This record gives sequence, structure tokens and C-alpha cells, in this order.
Amino acid sequence: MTDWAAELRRCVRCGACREVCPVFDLTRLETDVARGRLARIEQCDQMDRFVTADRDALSRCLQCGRCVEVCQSNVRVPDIVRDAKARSGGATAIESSVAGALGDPARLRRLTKRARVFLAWLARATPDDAGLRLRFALPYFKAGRYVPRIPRRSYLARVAPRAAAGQERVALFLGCGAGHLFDGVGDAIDAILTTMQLVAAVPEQACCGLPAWGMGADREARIAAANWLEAFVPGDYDAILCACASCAAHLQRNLPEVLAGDRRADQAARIADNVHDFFAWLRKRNWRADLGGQRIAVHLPCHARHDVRDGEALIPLLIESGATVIELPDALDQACCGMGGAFGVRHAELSRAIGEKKVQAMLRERPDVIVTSCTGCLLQLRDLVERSGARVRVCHAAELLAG
Amino acid sequence: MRRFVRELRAVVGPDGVLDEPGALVAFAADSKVRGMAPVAVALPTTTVQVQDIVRLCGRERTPIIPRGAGTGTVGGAVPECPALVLDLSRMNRILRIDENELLADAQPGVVTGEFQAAVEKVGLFYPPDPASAATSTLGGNAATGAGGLRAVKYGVTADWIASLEVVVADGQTIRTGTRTRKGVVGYDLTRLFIGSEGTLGVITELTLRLIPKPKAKATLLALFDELSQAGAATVAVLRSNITPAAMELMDQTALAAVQDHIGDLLPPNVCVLLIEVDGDADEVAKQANGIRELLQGVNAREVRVANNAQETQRLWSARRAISPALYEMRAQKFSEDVTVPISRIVDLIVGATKIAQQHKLVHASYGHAGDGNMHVNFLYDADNPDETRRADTAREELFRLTLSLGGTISGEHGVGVAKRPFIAWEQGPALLDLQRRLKRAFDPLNIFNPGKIFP
Repeated sequence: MTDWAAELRRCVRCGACREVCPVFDLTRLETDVARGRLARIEQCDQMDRFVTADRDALSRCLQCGRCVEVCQSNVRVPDIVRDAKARSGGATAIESSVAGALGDPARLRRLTKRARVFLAWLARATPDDAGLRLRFALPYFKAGRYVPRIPRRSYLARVAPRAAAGQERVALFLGCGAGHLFDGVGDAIDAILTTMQLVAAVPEQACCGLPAWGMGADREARIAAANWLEAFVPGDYDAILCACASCAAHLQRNLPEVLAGDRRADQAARIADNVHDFFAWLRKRNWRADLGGQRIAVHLPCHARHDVRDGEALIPLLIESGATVIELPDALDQACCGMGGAFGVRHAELSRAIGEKKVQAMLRERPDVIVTSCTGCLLQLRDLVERSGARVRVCHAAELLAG
Repeated sequence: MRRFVRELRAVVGPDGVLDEPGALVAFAADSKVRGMAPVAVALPTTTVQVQDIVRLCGRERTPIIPRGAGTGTVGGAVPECPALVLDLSRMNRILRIDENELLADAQPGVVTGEFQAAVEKVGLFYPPDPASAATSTLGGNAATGAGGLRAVKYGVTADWIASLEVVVADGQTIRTGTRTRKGVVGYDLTRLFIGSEGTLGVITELTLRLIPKPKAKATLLALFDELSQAGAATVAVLRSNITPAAMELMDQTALAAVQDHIGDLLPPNVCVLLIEVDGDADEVAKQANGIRELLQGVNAREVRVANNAQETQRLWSARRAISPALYEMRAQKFSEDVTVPISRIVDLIVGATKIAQQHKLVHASYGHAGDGNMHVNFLYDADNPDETRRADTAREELFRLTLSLGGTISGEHGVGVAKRPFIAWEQGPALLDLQRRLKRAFDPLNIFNPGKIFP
């Protein structure tokens, strides 16, 4: 067990987090920066009491980890915040029930279906294929928020279950975004694997549990993790490929902690090495596409930058494939897109303002295409590019590499 | 109190006031001193709002604690009584950069590092460079009279402030100083407000002096076996005809703390002088050579010129990382910015080492050797009462030693709360009394950061 009180005390209150925190950058509130949040958490712990205001304040952290990068003491702020959320019951009833539904294959299918009908009623299509705009304000979605068109038959509905074929037994874990929303991602990965004479197994699957874990809905995260381990049994595959970097981060780094105290914790620890970010895996095998000099703006997800094994492989992979990767100034290059799971829903305006800075910087460089490797980031980037009026393709990196 | 908060909201808007208990704890401390949570926090964006707040607090007799980035080390921005914290983080606009007059106007919440970057973009240079510059603010630097790394050649924050706009006790604004190079009309109130730690008024705008940015710089690294040798070398450089832009000393303990940054750049068990020279390219080369020759003549084990920008960056970031990194060795430290006349640096270094040995404490000495301002750190574990007591005693002995060498107990951090008990060791009763009367003249209601500096 982590001694959170000791971890909190490691903060020397130097305030360096104020330099980089994307939320503080906009609000200029000490309460929105790691140092201020830790002061709050310490006090809540001392009084053994979290009230609504504390839960709201904790929800204003993106858990992007930028502060840890500049922290001399390496205080694990995102983990501290996450754990405080869990102890405080930070997730709202709606959030944890959505997170719970994501973690169960059958419930997730039903949820997607309902969402499709609901959104069709609620939204109008945008002129191109980018997706839908909501017509009405909902408590959670501000009017005008772009949402992707939910496909009639998602990738998972079309393909799963499928067995592996080829020299190696690889399996594909899509994650909610690629599995149910952005159904071109799975097809793109299949096309890339075909060039290696491989067919990935696609077992019935649901959510890895990261959204639940991030918001502190530990029970739902445990159920999702257990379901995931039923779908991907250790030893069954030579490699489990993740379409989404954030899922990969969760599976590689958090799963044993999610299942702490559970008999499956060992299993989770064993399988971590077997889970690969798709692009890290591709690069290790020296696979290359031919991107013939395209100018590409890359948004590397925070999870990829911090938590995924070889998580930054996407960038050299694109360069080695002949693309020109646009370099942004450091601070923007490393910036979060502002989505942050439930953060983007609860604090839609802040989230958008944070992402806006990065997207505007990307658009100024006139890229041919903007790519990322997390479907949550993809959702955010599409919304922002769509709203900016720019006609720039925004896609998952696999879709670009598949050609 | 409810009404007070309501009136504050009427001044700065609903999202410019914090009064939720969990939010207020974030304002109960600076980077070193813990006090109590304020009753509310206001985040003004304009001078007019600050004026309204000062009037409101005057009427209510509610103390005002101005706060920048909260990177102070002596508790200057920390409430000790029920008070309003005036957080100036949202007054963060650079108002203009006047390239002809070499002046810039900025609000107090502008982050110093961002200001430096902004003026450098147009080829100008703002030399004051506190180690916390990436986070700390211009207003905070002015209110504490912050020093920094480049003081050897360029002086401290105070030397670069031409004029201040200050909101004073009755809510009026005053403008101190001039926009001219010279100006002797009336008292020099600019200097008085600098380093006054928020006890006389609230700085709401600063006019800062700039110079053209030096075209080139070079970093030299001199290795010594003994700390006192490095101290002696410092004096030798200062007596030469070359003035380095910065001259920082780091002892063995300080270097060990930042081993991650340094990696294999240095052999073990050395102390280091890190020297920066700047100017035109040929001038820089000449200075660097001159210093190298000089140091080789005074027992330096080795003198190197940093090879490339990356190595330079690594060395300086290591220097800046020392202060927080020392906490990895012990949970607590006394970090004292004692300053002595430059000819007494060696006495200070030797004396501090002796004090640490006497009290069996881990200690680190580093800092701005070039201006006589060392950071002497005694590390201790607060859970160990005996060690804490020994550190307390060592700290007092260090102050006595500094004063006996003709120095001052604070070169750049200020007095705040942490050094308040010792101010009378340095300044006589008549001087203290006069300063207290000054405070009363400026602040008859005693609402500006009451109780700070003077016991």
C-alpha cells in the first residue's frame, strides 16, 4: 500500500508546478495547481472528511502529469489525486454508472446502441463526414459540441470474436473509442497487420477500466479489469496490441494496483509485459509505411508520454516512414489536449480552452493531417478542429499509416 | 464576514474571490513557512479593484496579505492572523515594452521568467534572476527585494526598478520614482517599497529598466578539493579586472543532491565554482580565458569551459535544482541567505562548516559566492527533536558569525516571519523604532501585512 501521507509530505511547495499546469494557466488559481490541491488533500485527510467542494476541486485536475515533469521531488500528483478521488467518492452516480457500463461487453453494446438513437434525435449531421453536432444544450454537453457519428455496426460488432491467424498469435484490444466510435481504426490496424501476414485475434471485449479508475470509481474499475483479464488470458497470445495509448498505459501500469488484494492481481502483473502500444510494437519490428513527405502534426497523449512502455515511438515511426513531423515549441508540444476523460465532460469550457491553445498552434503550422494515438484525445482534437473551421484531417495514427 | 465576502465579490466578480475552506488552505503557506488559512482570497485584475479592496479592508480593519507566486521562504506572504490574501496572479499583463527608452511596464503578477523571455524576444535583457524566476513574479521579487544569480555584475531587483505604482492605505494610488535615468526629487520611496514585504502598500504596477541583450555568454567550471579554496578563488576573481555575470559556488553536499542533473560531468568529492561571463563574442572569449588562467593560478584542480549549450544548460539547471533537492536528504532544512563582505567569504564558509561539525549536522553551502551571499543549509529531521534543537542552535550561531564578519542575516529572502526574532541582532533600537514609525505613517490602520518584519 502506498503511504499517501508520506507522498504528500514530499512536496516542498516550491511552486514549480505553476509553470506548467494547463488548468492553472487559464484560471491562475493556486487551488488549481498541484501544490494547492495537495494542501487540500492533506487537510481532508487530517480531518478524515471530503465534502462536495473537495470532490469538485479534485475533478478540476486533468491528471496529465505535466507537474511531475518539473517536480524536483517527483511527487506523483496524478496518483495522489486519483486516490483522493477514490477515497472521497469523487465520481458522480452518472459517471460511475457509465464507467461501469463501459466495463461490461454486453452493457457496453446496449449503451452504444441507445446513445446512437439518442444522438440521432438530438443532433444534426455536420456538412462533411466529421460527425454530428448537438442541437440542444444538455447538462453535460454544451450546445455545439462535436460528437462522432456512432457507426451502425461498430468494428467490434462486425468482427468480434475472431481468432488469430499467422506466424504469431497477436490479439487486438480496441478500447471503447476504437471499438465503438471510430470504427476505421480497427480496420486500419487489420490492414497494417495484413502486410505482415498476420490476423489479430479480436475476443469479445469491453473497457480496460481507465475512465473508472481515473475518476476514482474503483469498484467499476475492478470489474472492468476482471472482465478484461477474462477476455485476454495471459499466455494465450504472443502480444496484445492496444489501439489506444491510454488503454495501454492503464493495462501496463495500473492493472495490478486496480486488482490489489484480488486473486487476479498476479495475473495482471504477468500480462503487463505482454501488452503493447500498437505503434511501439510496430516500430520494434521495423515496420514502415510510406508517408511521402506529408506534414504531420502529432499530439502525443499524456499517457503515452509518461506511462506507456516506449510510448513516444509513434514520432520516430512517422519520421522513419517519410513524414515531416511538425515541431511545436516545447511547452505546447508537451501540452495536454484538455480532454482528461471525465474532466472534458464536467469542465467542458476549461477543457476546450486548454485544447484550443495546442490545436491553434498546430493549425498555424498548416499540417496536412493531425494524428494522435488515443481515442479520447482524438475526440477532443476533432471537436476543436471542427469548431475552428479548418478543413484539416484529424485521425488516429493507424488510419494514416494504413494509407 | 458573509457581507465582507459579498462586497469583495461585487468588486472583483464572483470567480475572483475564494472563501471555501478547502481552497483557503492553499494560501496558508509559502515554500517554507506554514501559517494559518486566510478568511478569504481575492484575485483582482486591475489597480482600481485593488483600491476598492484596500478601502473595504480599511473599513473592516481586515488585514491584507499581498501574495505573488508563493515562492517566498520567510513567510512574508503567509497569514498569521485572520486576514485577506490578495493574490496578484491575475494581474499578469506586460503593459508595454519601450524599446527606445529601455523601459517596460508590467503588472505585479507577471512571472519573472516570462517577462525575461518577452523582452529577450525584442533583443532586450532584464538581468535580475532569482533562482525561482520561472515561477516567481515581478511583484513578489520587488516586495521581497529579491536577488539572484546575476547580481555580481548586474545587481539585484532593486537596481532595475525605475518606478512603482502602489495602492496605499486610504486606497489612493501613488507613483514613485521617475521614468528618467536620474531623479532626486523627494525621498526615494521606490527603494523603500522594494523589500517592504507588503507592509506599506500594494504594488500594482512596475516600471522596469532594460538593457540590450548581451550577444554571447560562456560558462566556466572550476573544480576544487576544498570549499575554502573555492571561496578564496572567488575573491581572486572579484579583485581582478573581469566581472563575471554570475559566480556560483556549490559544495560536495549540494552537488551530491543534484547528482541526477550532473550525471558524469563531474568527478566525485569536488566543490565547484560555476561562472558565467557575457558580452560581445570576442569579449566573452577574452574574459573566459582570463578567468581560466587566474583560477589555474589559485589551486583549482581543473578549469573547464562548457562545451556546448546542452552542457551549460545542465550545469545551470543543476544549480537551480539544489534547494528543493536537499529535501531528499533530510525532511527539513534551514536555508539561510546570509551575506558577508566579499573579503570574508572564506571565513563564512569555514565558520559554517565548523558550526555544522560541532552540532553534528549535515550541511550544504552553495550560492552566490560572487556577491558574498551564500546559502548555508543545515539539514535536519523534524521528527528527531534532538537534531531539530541542534539545527536551531546552529542557525543562531550562523547568524552571530555572519554579523561578526560585518554581514547581514538576509541578503535576498527578507525577514518575514522566519527571521523576525533576529532582526534586533542586526539593527539597533533607534533604527528599529524609526522603521516602526515609518510603518505607522504609511499604514495607520495597520492593515498591510501586519506583524511582519518587526517583532
